[in-house]
Amino acid sequence: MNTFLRAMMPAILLTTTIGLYACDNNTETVNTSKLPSSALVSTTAAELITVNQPRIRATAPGQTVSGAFMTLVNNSATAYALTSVSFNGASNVEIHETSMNEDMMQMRKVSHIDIAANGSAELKPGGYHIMLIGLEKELKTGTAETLTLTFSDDSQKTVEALVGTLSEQHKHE
Amino acid sequence: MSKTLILIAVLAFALGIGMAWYYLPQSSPDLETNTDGYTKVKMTEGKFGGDFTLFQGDKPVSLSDFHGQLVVMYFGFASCPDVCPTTLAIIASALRQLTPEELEAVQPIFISIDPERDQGEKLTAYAAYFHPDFIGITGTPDEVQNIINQYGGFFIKVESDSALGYLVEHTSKTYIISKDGQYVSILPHDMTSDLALTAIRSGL
Repeated sequence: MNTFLRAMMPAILLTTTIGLYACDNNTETVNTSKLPSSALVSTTAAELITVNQPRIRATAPGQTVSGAFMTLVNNSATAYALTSVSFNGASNVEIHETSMNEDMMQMRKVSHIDIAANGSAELKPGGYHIMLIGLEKELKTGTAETLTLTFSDDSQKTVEALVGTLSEQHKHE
Repeated sequence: MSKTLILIAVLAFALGIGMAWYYLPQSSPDLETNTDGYTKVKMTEGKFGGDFTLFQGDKPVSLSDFHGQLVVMYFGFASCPDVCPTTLAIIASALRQLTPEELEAVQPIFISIDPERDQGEKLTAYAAYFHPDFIGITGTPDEVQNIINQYGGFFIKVESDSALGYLVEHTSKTYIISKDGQYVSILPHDMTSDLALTAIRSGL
């Protein structure tokens, strides 16, 4: 049995390596093919980072703050960071982090959110969020708002964030 | 290992268990019972829980006003962008799954720990936004601190460089007070609406 396993091991390793390489290769191919030819030379974070599920929590009547959430996927080998966000309907926009320390729910302003090379950063309830302060109007479920994200290389990306109740967030964590 | 050594080890182990049994405080089963995912504690005036009075606008509201109803209570603040609205929405989602008869026997209460910013109509509208049965009450910061302490919670105002001015750090538990006012079920900050529903139904 031992001898058999020993003999098989290189084969298993080889298969795994080929498999991984194939997967890697697939991703690369998809990414490249999606980009316009001129983009092959571009290297801005705004072009290399995909924003998934941008969403804003709907506000209660009279509530002038809200949080925006999303997943930032870095499709490049360079680490970037989200450094600021702007939104026309708010007097201030900040990046905050919520954390549970012992039993205490804490929130603090942070300067940026790191997005690792070939990694992602998740902005979700109970973690990082974009804090919209001094909202000029009520944000109603079913509407969409435009957020402008600025990354560490000063490139900017505009996203349409859906406004919703985000009521069941804990469940999926 | 020789038989003697094994015997000594067994005896030492038994002695340790015996001593732990003798010296460690025993939690009395009727004081605190751990049920699936939440804790049930007996109200002990001066020690845990108890009645209190706060205000809905100018109107005094006491916990004892709801004797005979199941009270679902949460401490938070309206400028909280994240944990508070998530928890309130989870409570609301559990309430929406109740039958009208069940809902009749439940009173949800939101207690603001930020009376400087949450008051009167604004607080009422904020609470009712999550579920029309919700009432929003508050008092002076000291009054609210005393009440949250009574229930084993805590909050603190923290100065920050945010445009919000100060931030409020707080415990984020949900309390369900039994109809007879004798027991409090304490639900964790990361509860689901299923857990809230289970805890509410078990008290009806």
